[in-house]
Amino acid sequence: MELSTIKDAFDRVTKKQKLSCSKTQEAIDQIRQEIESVLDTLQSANNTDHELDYKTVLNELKASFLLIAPLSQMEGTQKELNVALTKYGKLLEKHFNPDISKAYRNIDIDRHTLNQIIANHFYHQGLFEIGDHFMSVVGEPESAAIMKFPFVEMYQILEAMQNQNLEPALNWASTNGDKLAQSGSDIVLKLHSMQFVKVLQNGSREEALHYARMHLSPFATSHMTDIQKLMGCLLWTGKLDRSPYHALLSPSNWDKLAEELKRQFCNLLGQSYNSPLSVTVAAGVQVLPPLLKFMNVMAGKKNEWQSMNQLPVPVELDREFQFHSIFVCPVSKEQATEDNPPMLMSCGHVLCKQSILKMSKNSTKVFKCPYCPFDIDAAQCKQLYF
Amino acid sequence: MDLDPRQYENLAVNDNDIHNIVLSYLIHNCYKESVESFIACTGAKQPTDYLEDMDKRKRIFHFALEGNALKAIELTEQLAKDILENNKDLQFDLLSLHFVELVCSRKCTEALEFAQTKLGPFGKEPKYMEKLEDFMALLAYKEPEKSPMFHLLSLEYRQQVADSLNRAILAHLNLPSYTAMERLIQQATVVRQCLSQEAGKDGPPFSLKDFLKS
Repeated sequence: MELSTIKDAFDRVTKKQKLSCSKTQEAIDQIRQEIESVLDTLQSANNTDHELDYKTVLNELKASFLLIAPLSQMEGTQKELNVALTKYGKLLEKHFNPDISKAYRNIDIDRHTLNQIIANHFYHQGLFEIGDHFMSVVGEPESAAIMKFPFVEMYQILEAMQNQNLEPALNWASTNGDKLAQSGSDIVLKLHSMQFVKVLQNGSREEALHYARMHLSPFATSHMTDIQKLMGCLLWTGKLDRSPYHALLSPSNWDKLAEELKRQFCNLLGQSYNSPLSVTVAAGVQVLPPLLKFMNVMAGKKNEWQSMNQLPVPVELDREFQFHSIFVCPVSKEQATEDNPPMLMSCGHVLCKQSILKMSKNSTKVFKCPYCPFDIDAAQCKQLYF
Repeated sequence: MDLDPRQYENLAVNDNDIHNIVLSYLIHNCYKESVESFIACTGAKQPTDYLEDMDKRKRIFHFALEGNALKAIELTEQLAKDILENNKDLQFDLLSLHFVELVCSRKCTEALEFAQTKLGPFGKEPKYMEKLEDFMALLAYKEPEKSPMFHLLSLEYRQQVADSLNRAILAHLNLPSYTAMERLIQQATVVRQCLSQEAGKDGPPFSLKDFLKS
């Protein structure tokens, strides 16, 4: 959610409040000075037995108060503060509308699936006790163990990494080396590089060299630059922190490596890096404001939307939430849907199903591809899955 | 080969000049026996002190070429102490030759020790960092000859370093770093290319190889 407008409004309120406070203080100080001045005059008159016209003194004090005009001084800034506060309140109401029912519709969700999604989120986050407790409460303790098991291993590895122990991670990497290589990951090299630096940091040059020959040389052709830098570190044994390679010792490298490992681990499990629940919530938070705005403006369209297959307004989501390609048919200029999927024609070009049915008169005749001179038989078109 | 319009074949060339050019080339490259034979055959004038310096240079050159860089350094310093002090690049190249020799002899611990003490200080200057990383990467391989940096183990690389050292010594002895022969060939090539462009010929550019064949 875009909170900068709220922050700006809040900053304006605090600014006005400070201004009002300082103006009030200023007026009080002026009044105090005038009173103190009069008291001094009265005091000195008492001490010297001078005759003093108290009425004149008090009239002068009254005149100076009128000149200072504390009320009108404070009134202006107080007014500005009240305006800013009112605006801020309205802005909060507008942005944090508690009634979101306009922007969603009730859909029958399979309770079992929903429970699985919630439990998966807990296990994904490493909150195993909460996950187990939740699964036993909803009466599905038997599926908990299956869901939990791979994440337990992952968090054991991550916990060891927090203590700068890479053994479990390296064991996992060597077991899954082929799969990781197939997916184009270089996590194995990153783990070995980190271990190499760790060995070197402990001051054993020969051990580090032996480690490099054992574990780094296989990557030399594909990751030459990395290997050169790591081998360059050997020149600075015992003083790596004062070397050109001191960045390799940065604690943030461990965090990055742990994040990368989690990403690759989830990838091998066929899971996303973030739990489906957290992705849904994050995407929902982005989508909700424009939908609420639309439903407020188009209050009467609520029933229409209930029967729609898609959102009533185009909603922009960040790239991180874009998981699938979108196909727009070049003939109908419409986006493909489940009912109207993209179809691959025998010539290699793609149109959506309805366009093909239209052009082939419901699959009764051969038609020409709009992009090339091929004759297309609708029966030979294959559905594409993005 | 087309004749040049400037009719250079009418120019008379003094035999002595040619002899001196050839002789300077032989001396430059320390071909001692060839120098002696050439002087005997042509009666060319014998340069002063050339033999003593040439002997020293020849030994240094050959030590560098064989990869015995420490001996080459020792003899160079005997000949002229400040040559290497004033030429950090050359000093680095010679030390790295010795490092390569240790790696090739599979003396890895020794190579590592040598690199840390002798090559390490160069790492403070960014221009040596990349080279240093290349050399250090050799250690990652049980068979460095099969590594992507195998060129550092080649005779060509040693030849390159030996040539640089030879030129530095010649410059120190107030002798030309490049032979007259090399300079003349370079100049002739440039002149021919310019003339060919000037004449506006569409044919291939001047080639020294083709010219020597004709």
